[in-house]
Order: sequence, then structure tokens, then C-alpha cells
Amino acid sequence: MSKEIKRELEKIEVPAELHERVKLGVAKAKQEALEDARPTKTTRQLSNKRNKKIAGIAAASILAITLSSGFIHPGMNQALASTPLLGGIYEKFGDKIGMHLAEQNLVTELDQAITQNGVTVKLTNVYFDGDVVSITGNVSGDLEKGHNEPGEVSFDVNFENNKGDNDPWLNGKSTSLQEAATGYDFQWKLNYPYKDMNEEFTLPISIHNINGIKGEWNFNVPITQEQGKVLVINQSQAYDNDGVKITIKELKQANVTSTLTFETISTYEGDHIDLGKAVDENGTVLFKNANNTRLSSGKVNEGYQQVLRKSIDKIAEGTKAITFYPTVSIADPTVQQQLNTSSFTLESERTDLAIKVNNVKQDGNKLILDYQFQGLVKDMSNHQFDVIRHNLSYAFTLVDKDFVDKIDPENPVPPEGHSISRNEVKVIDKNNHQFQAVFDLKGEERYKNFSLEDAVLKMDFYSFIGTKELAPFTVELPQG
Amino acid sequence: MLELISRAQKGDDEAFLSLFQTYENDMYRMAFMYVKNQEDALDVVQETAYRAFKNIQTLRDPRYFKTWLIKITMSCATDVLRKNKKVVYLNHDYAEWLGSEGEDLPTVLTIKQILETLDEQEKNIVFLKYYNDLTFKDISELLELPLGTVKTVLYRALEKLRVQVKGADLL
Repeated sequence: MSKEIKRELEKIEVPAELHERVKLGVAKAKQEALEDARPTKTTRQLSNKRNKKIAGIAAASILAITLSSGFIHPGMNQALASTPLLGGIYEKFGDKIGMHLAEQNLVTELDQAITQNGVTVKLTNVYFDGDVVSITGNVSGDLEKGHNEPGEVSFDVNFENNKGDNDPWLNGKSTSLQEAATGYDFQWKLNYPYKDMNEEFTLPISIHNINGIKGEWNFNVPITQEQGKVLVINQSQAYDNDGVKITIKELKQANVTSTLTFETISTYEGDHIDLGKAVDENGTVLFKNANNTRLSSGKVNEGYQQVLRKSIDKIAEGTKAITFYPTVSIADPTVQQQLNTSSFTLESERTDLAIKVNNVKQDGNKLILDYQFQGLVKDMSNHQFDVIRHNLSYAFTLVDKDFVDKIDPENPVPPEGHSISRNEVKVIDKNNHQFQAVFDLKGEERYKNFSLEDAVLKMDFYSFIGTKELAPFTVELPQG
Repeated sequence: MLELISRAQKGDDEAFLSLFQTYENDMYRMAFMYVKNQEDALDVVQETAYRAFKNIQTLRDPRYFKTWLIKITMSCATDVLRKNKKVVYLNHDYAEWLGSEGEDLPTVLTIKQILETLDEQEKNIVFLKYYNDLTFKDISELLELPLGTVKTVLYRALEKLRVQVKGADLL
């Protein structure tokens, strides 16, 4: 089995942009070293998914721009589109949607090329199916003059003239790269980011730099698909006890995929409602744990609303009914207690879970808490118990009371030097769920000037609550 | 390599990048084991590169550069999990979460099974043992766990994977 495990682990595909991301990490550290940044800045905002603003001086002069003819619509170009060459590019990238669309002559060929600073970008094909937009092209020229390693190409690109990370087209964008006879072939896959679908539009693309080589490779790409067939509109299901309402806004068929747009409304802020899976009347699983594109979110009269869209395999012709299996992940607020008392109870606001602390004591460089975890099920398996014990090592955070308010709720990183977020968990009485938490005050996370009276214990119950499965509901599809 | 580490410790980012590149695929796969998606795994590696370059002066023995990186990667991945609130959820229907009941048992082991069946500590040890080929002793030192515990956890992990695979005599 060991070889099998290794083989499986090696199957985890490494994305082409990995090295570029490493460089960003190093560049940030270097920049901070130069700026002599304060220690509190050392923890990067992990939510900053894409920060491609590579440091540079004035834009390099533009050496040459060539722009050949525009695009060829599929209707004008069906013969060309059906050649194996076109399907071949999608085969090369293992893109089944593209292969099916190429077979049906539903791929638009492009012939747009721009050369700047010795690097040529040529866009070759585009398709739009459901909410999936694919753009393929080739990049060639003086790529090695940039700062990437051979075999790597990174683009700093925006769509619709958006700037930087503030570009909805970048959410869920993926890039694939393959070596070609000249340079590299690439495929960008994007999710259509807006609620109202426009089946025909022009997408402006601005590439700002490639492998660190600056330039302005600007394209306008025609995006088109046939109007899809809408199967379901506005069917709702409410779960009053859970404060949940789900509306299937639209189920729409494209040529190869279907899109499912649904709205969730929760009475509670932070609860995450999703459709875990869907099954047709014959028991065929239509999707399971499919990703969402978030189209909008905000507060409405009934609660906290999100509109989400999933791209799923095409629903088979003649399907009569679809049963959805919704789930809700409960957001339970963090609770806290100042340690100026040695016995207290931390109670989960929305569940029966509670941590009853019986004793708190400092023993040299260790802080020891004896507690009982109340509200857990009695007859849990050994594995469940192990998971709980493991999660308890992350559940508590010890923070200096003067720093509690300085933690950013959006990015709750414990303040360095004034907090400890790991503890060693000792099982005192397994059957009665009695544990001991041992915090090492001089361990890897150091806590300066610790005093029991000034310390606050914070507790998150979220990892013990789990996702609740709501009762499934069925939507009938119109026939004919 | 020692020369590169020495240069990196003096602030030479090119030297550091050359060093890091040797291991970046390993770090990415390790991060993926934790966070189970590309975007977060890329975040973890970016953060690892950031923290590693920032703190490379603290690396006392250059021979342990890789294990030092592994440790940082684990720490960053744990931070992402905590931040995203993805610390191993306990589903009400736990059996389904394990994916072992109600459906046909698969005949081969898949990465999905490894990711979904094992808890974080088990994944760590399986990864270090079978992907990075570390010895029990190395793993024990790296994770600061007693040798016996490392072995116990590994065998427990293998046992869990074995029940996922039809024909349980693969080991």
C-alpha cells in the first residue's frame, strides 16, 4: 500500500502558477525587510488570494504592436471549427466540455495576436457554455528574459478593464499550460460572474505583464452561446426551525453543462447554506459537493441572503424531478472568559455544547486548565473521540486582555507575543469527557509577561458542531 | 546547497528561490493534503515562502532545511484551516462523511479517500512517511511526538485506508 499511497499523492496536480506565488511570498518578505516593518505586519492577509503587483519601475517602452485580423464567428467558420485541430487543443488540456463543443462546432475561433517587448500573445479559441468561459491561446517569444524559470509562464491579467484583485472574473479562474511547437499553449477557464446572464458580449482582456515582462496586451474577445433552456424557476423550501429558506431560482440547460442558480436566506449571520447533492427520480446523482460561484450576498428583510450558482453536468433529457439535499453549517460566535476566576462555564450560544472549567492554575511556564466538555453524544466511536481530542488542541486561544480588541474579526490572527493558540490535550476521564489543556507559555508561541488575571480564554465551538443535513426537497421539472 | 542557504541567510532572495524551488512541489502537495483545494494550497505555499525567507536566519543547521520548511508548511496550513473554519468537522451523519457505507467500496485507493478518511495528524504522518520517505525517527523529531505514537498513528491510518479498499490485504 505504501507505493500506492505515494503514487496517489504524486497525482496531486501542481498548478503552473505555483512558482510565481512563491516569488510573491519572497518578494513580500524582502519588501518588508526593506521597510523594516512592524512585527504585527508579518502575518500576511491570507485572504489576499492574488497580489500580482510585481514591483517595478516605469513601464518599459513598447517595442512593437501587431494586431492581426479580429475574430471569426462559428457560423462563418464551421468547417474550420470541426477540424481535429480545434478539438485537439481541448484534448491537450483534458477539457471534455471543450471537446464536446468542438464536435458540435460551438467553439469560436479567434485570430488576435499582439507582440510587446518581444513576447507574443495569440488568442486562438473561445467558448461559453452555461457559466463556463474558456479562452485558449499561445504565448511565445522572449519569455526567458522575464524572471520565471524555464517551463513557467505567469500572466498578470484583468478582464473587463477591472483593476488588480478587484475583478469578479478572477474568482475561480484557472490557468493550464502546455508546451507547444512555438512557446506555450494556455487555457484560461473563467466562471461568468454575474447574476443576469448575457449570452452574447465582448470581453475586454488586459494582460499587464508576463513573467514579469511589462506590456499592454489588450484584446476584445467575442463571447457567445445559444440561449439555454430554462427548466425550473423560483421554487422555494423553508426550514423554519433552522432559520433557512432556499429558492431554486433557475436551472438552465446549456449545450454541455447546466447551471443551477439558487438563493439562500438565513436568519443567522454567518451560517452557510448549500446544496450538498442532487439526485434525479432514478437515483442518479447529478452533483455532489459542487463548488459555487457567489453572485451576490447581503442583508434582506428576511435575513442574510446569498445567491449562488453551480455549474453541473447537463441534466438528461426527460428528467422528471430533482431532489436536493441541503446542508447548513452553523456559525457559533466565539465565547470568552477572563481568567481572574478559576471555575466558570463557556457556553455555545446556539447548541447545547459547553466547556465547564473546574480549575485553572499556573505551574511555572505552563498554564493548566481542567475542564469537562458537556453536551457531547455519549456513545461516540474511538475515532470520533480522537477527532474531538485533536480539535480541542486548536479550540482555545489564550490572549492578553489588552490585545483582545486588536484582533481583526475578518482575519482573526492571534496577536504575536501576546497569545497562544495551541494547547496540549490530556484525557482525564474519557467516558465523562474530562480533559486537561496545557498551554506552554514559553513554547513556540511565546506569551510575554503572562499574568493569569490579565489573560482571556477564547473558545470556538465551530469545529464540534458540524454540518447539519436538512430534509431533502424535490422540484418537479416541466415535461415536453 | 549550504552555499545557497548561507547566501539566503544574508538576504539573497535569488539564492532562496533556487533553494525553495527544489521543494515547492512537495510543499504544495503537502498543503493540498490539508486544505484540499488549489486556491488555499497556493496561499499556504506563498505564506510558507514568505515566512521561511523572513526567518531563514533562525535556521541553525542547514542540513534540516527541508524539515524546517515542512514544519512551516504544516503551521501555515493549520492557520488557513483555522481561519477558514475547516478544522475537521464532525458531521451528524459521520458514516457518510467517511464515505464507507451505503455505497460500493472502491477497489483502488484514491487521493480523495486519503484526504477524507484521515485526520490531520494521520495525513501528516502518512505524507512524511510515504511521500517524503522520512524515517520514523525523523518524523518523531519533526512532529515532536514519541516514536511509539508515530508508529501507532501510522498503523491506525493505514488500517483506516485499508477498510476503504476492497481486498484488505494490500499492505
